[in-house]
Amino acid sequence: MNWTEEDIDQLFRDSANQLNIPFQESYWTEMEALLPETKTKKGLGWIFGGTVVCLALISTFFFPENIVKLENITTKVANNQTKFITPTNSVSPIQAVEAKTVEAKIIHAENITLKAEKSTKAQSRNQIIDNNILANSEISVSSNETFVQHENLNLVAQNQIDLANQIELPEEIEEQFSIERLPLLSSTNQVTSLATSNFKSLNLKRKSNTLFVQIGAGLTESFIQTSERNWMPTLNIGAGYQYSPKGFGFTAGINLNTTFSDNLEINRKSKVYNFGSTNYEQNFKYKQIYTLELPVSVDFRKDKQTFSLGISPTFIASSLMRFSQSENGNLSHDEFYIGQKVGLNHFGLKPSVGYQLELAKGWNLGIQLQTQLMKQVDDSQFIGKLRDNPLSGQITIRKMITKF
Amino acid sequence: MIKNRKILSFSLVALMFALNACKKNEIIPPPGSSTPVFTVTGSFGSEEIDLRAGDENVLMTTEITLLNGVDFFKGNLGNEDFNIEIGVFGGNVDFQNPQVPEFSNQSPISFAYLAQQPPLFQIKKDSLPNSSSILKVEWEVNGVMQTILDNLEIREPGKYQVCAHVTFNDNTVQTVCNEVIVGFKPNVAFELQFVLGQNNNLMAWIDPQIGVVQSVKWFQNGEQVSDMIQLNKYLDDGSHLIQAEVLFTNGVRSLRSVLVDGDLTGKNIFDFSKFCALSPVEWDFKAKVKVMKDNVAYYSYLAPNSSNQIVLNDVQYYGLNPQGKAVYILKGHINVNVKSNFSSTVIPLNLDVSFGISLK
Repeated sequence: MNWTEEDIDQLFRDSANQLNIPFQESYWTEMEALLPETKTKKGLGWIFGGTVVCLALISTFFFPENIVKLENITTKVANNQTKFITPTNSVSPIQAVEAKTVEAKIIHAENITLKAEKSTKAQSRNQIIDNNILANSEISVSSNETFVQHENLNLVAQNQIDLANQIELPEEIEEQFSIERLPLLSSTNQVTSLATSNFKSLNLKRKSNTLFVQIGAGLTESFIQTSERNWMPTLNIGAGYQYSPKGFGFTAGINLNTTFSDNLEINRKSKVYNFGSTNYEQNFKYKQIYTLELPVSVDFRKDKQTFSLGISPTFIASSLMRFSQSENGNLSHDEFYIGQKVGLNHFGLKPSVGYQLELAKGWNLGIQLQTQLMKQVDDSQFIGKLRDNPLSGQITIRKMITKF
Repeated sequence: MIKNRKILSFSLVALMFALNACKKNEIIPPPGSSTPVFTVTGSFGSEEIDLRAGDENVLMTTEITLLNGVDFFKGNLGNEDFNIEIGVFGGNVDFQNPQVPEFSNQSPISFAYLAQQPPLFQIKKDSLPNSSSILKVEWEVNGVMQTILDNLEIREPGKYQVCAHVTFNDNTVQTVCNEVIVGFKPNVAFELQFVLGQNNNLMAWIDPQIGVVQSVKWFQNGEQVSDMIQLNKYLDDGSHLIQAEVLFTNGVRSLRSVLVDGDLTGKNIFDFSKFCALSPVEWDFKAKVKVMKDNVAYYSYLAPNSSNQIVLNDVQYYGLNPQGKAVYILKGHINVNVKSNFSSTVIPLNLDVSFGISLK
């Protein structure tokens, strides 16, 4: 018999209803003290929609397979090896499922958790289940049910409760997996502890791999030297992958950058001699330049601060510009163009230094300083003086969307 | 997760295509810059000259003009301040299709010269055989009536259409026109002679000095009356315009006219083109330079240039001018003296040129 999630949920409900355990408010008080702050994950707005697309690249190239892959760990527990913490007279709903092989799907990178997901909410909830309850049962550990409670098995599961997060430990402890006891509720409604020896094979790690989206705004120096120092505003939107353990990590991403210009004017002139001469002049007034950037950086994280040193290959993908053309001073053409890159060099390279501060959980505020090493204007077509290594700076807001 | 990655990867690729696949109107880059084609550098007297067509409003123009009825193949380079004109005359102008200059052999080009000398062509009424019957002669040259009566002088080489409006003593006026070529090498020379006997029998013939007559067509008052070498014809009373179209063996075809008085009163007009004596001046394929500076014109033909030449190093076809005439670039060196009509000062002109000249 194949158990669906609904079947299992219903099973839990029925069992729970059959039990007659007096509810005490203190249970919840105690549990709430242990639980992380409940947060609702709101759907990403359309503003992030485009950047999600960029996520594909990151996910393709940077996801370690052993992290993203859900391993089906088949845990077969023999009936005689089952050790119940619960009283023997209790009726376990799971016991009703007899002679079944226990197969638990466990996210390898996480604790041994049952993943209870609320269908209307994107964030997964983990529930710790005593591995004893797996005895004599086959449980597909996945439920969209909101509420799961099973006192007999000291299973503490509740909607939006993530016990895995409860056991967030200081990093130094986390990394050594030195968890000795886990709190569980006994059948006598007292919080007991669970020997972590049962979790020896489990991999407890802090979530260091993060996908993020970000938006930013800044200023960049004009590519062309003028009498005054001109700055061009920029906007960017991007996504990326960040590996940020304590200490050194790295970040890779993709940004779509828009530079707004009011003085990036490229003139292309030629003089053709004949019986006299014909002076041709083409004028390109770039209003917006769309650049694709692939920033890669080495990060150093300390507490909530991250310092980064990186480099960003850039590619000018498109533009919005006004083009005019004259022949011997007579205007013959004047209109806006999209997609032209005349007079611009397609590729660039921008080293950068950056700083990020975690303002709230999942929200980072960053500042970044960059310079362009390669000339973005083709000086063979430009009459004038170009600026060497124009500086740019930007402030970014980064939202971590997934940790694993 | 894998499915999501595929979707996201596909979306990313689509985004990249969208960024680059937007329809772009092609912007055609302007033609590349070039160096000046037509230039004149050197000196005009003590003044440095550096003219480049396309700079400082300097233009190169070329055209073929008729100068005194002769083709003159010229170019003009300059602006309002300084302007230099270099041209070469055609040759063999008595042919129906005069010859254009040929630069392919790159031989030096001599300069046309016109010294203060007796007129190249001169007719005096008193020198006419029947001058006693003539009251006055008004001369018309190339459609322009001359202000001087009776006598005609032509001082510049050219091919002229000269008409004599003769007023006889009885105040009757008769007109005869003939082509007069002066200052250019003739390939034929002849005189239309006639005798009108007492019985009104006209005998007319061609008396060639240069060339061999191949055929003659005789016309009386515009109508062909004979194609014999010699015309024998009875004339009625009155004046008769007798014309001979003479074809020489070298291909020159010439029309000559006389007026014969059938009344035998002596009101004849003889072939006055016979006075076109062989001239020491021959401007065939000769060059002429004109400099305009400060609204003063300086001409090479007014100054002695017997030892000066245009030495060509290269001749190239360049293209068509706005009038559709072929333009050749003459590259070489010019040493020439020029002089204005209002000064005796001769100014040397020493130029390296890359100059355009139109040819047919």
